[in-house]
Amino acid sequence: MQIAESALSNDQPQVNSTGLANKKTAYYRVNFTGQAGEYFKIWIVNIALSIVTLGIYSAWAKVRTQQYFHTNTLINGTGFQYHGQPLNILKGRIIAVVLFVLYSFAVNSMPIIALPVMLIFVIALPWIVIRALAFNARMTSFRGIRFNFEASYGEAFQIVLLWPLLIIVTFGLIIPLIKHKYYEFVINHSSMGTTSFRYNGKISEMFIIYLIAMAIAAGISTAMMIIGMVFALFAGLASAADESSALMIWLASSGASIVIVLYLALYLLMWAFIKTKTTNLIFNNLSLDEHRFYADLNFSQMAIIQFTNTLAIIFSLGLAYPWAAIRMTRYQACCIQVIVSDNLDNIIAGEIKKVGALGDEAAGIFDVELAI
Amino acid sequence: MEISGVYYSGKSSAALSSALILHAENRVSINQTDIYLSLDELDIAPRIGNGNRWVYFPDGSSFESQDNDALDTLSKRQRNHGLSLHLLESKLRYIIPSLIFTLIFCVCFFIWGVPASTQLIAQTLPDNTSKLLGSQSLEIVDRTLFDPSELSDEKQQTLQTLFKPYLSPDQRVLIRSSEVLGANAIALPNGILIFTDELINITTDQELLAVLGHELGHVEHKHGLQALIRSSLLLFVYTLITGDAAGASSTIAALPTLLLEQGYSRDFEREADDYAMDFLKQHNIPRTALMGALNKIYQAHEIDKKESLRDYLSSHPAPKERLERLTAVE
Repeated sequence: MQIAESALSNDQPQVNSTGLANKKTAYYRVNFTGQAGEYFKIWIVNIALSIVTLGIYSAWAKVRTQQYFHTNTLINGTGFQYHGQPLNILKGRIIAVVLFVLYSFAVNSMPIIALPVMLIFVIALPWIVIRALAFNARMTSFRGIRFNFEASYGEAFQIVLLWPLLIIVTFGLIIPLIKHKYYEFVINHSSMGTTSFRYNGKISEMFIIYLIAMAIAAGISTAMMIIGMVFALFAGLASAADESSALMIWLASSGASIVIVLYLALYLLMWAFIKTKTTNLIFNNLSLDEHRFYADLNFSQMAIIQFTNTLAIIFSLGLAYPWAAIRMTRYQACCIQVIVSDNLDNIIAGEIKKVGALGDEAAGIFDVELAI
Repeated sequence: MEISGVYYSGKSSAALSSALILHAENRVSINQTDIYLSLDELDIAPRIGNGNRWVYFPDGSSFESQDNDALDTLSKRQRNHGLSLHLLESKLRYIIPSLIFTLIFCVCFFIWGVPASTQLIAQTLPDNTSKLLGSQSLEIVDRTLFDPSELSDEKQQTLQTLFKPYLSPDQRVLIRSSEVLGANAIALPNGILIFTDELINITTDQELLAVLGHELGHVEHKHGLQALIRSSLLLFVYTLITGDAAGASSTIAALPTLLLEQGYSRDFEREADDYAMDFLKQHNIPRTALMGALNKIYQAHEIDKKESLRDYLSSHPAPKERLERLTAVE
């Protein structure tokens, strides 16, 4: 496969002729131009102003952040646009926070009403998910054309509630199927203007990803168990020799911290593996009309970036966060290509619908899994 | 003034390389299009970093340009141009104070703000809250941590008589056995104190009273309720700060939160130890009883329960530090 680097200044990408339908195919690598220093300034001002305004500015902060990441994500020199309005987001946030406080208070003080409240939330969940996806899609545009997301409650109900119910019964074996259904649901109901996205991934590929992930997890867990046992053994020997031995306490506590570190490493590896492979799977099976996508994220690269990012954030007490976020986004962006058939000019706008920010914020506060 | 860029009609994704031109009397036009309107009708997107910037027109079409400085000039000519956030985000004289302010705020918030506000909330919540919490949590701990006591009824009765004078009417001591906790005692928010058989078997009466003082300290300071409020508060603050953060990963969040929780928990233990020392002094019981009890508990855990020691070390102050502190009070 021939790959062309698209640069901002270069308006003439490398072009391949397919010869078949007399249409030209062009490859555009997604180009992320965000800079760590630039984002750090935006980020720190966002946090400082959010503190000073007791959280009110956080709605503006969200819009600034989204705009920064959108405008700096370029395809053939054109950036994405973010249209979210701070006041809408603030309204959604206030409602979500009030709901959250009421919920925590109710559950803490009157455990009896926890169940009915939970039930109402569960019934509302598919609706919240639809609203959140729709809000994010409609607030984003490319080349002046807005994205859109539309789905019925029934479909969302299946994805969000029905299938996940089977996780316990099937001992988690159904998770790849749920993930597959979820991506199918999100992508097939998304569109750019009047043109729909299509997802053609196979369930079997998703199963393979999770199978390998499980093998990695099993390997590391075994290592963890062995290390734990060795430390317990030494700790036992030490305490047999001397009951209040400092060595024994040291062994027990350092054994515990090694297990915690290994657990974090395991989590990180699993995250990197699943993220890498599902991103590749999704983009390689994604299409928009005749346009296609190609992603070749590398597992070890992702794991190294995520690992060093985590270390940097911990040791800088969080100050390295902007650098880490930019670095991760840049790597992911440059691994994704858009395979344009003919040109990108023929996507027609749809009717612009208004959507409140409530779903988006409520989803964020209640920690609904929405990430692709 | 002429600004080069790309025009999008908003009806299709077709791109038109064009230029935005500012004419006399603040009229604006776009080359090769019908756009011709007053500058004030333009919606110029705020500048953010040095990324491409957009100008939106009333008919839904838009114009994208990389010429941020020219668009800044254009924006300043508009009748009601707002405050430029980009200015705040680009000048060191705003960035450095923001950074220092945020750092100082975070340090103060975690050292004083969190304990003070949880304490304040815990004290202002009606007493009812603690009672409701306790009745619920007794069921839970009975199910998960405890088995019925194996001590004789006589022994239990003697212990109840021992504790009775030190308890207020709404406080109660329960005796249970627990394989998970070993020699230990816990306090529920509603004033129910649970002592384990394992603890009773190894301690003297005076030492048991010292432990009682420690647990009463937890109840008196409403530590259980505070812990609950604190975790909600930390979650809320975390959501507030990172709510707008794209691509945050939860590994990063889990670690500091865990460390913070343990840190606050150690403060609670110190507070309860102080309360116990006052309690012992007030009732004319030798204050060495608390150290005696702690020493026996540490010993019991080192010999029997290596697993529980790990938790003990993290949520409680280090044994050495704790004992040294008590000796200092002495």
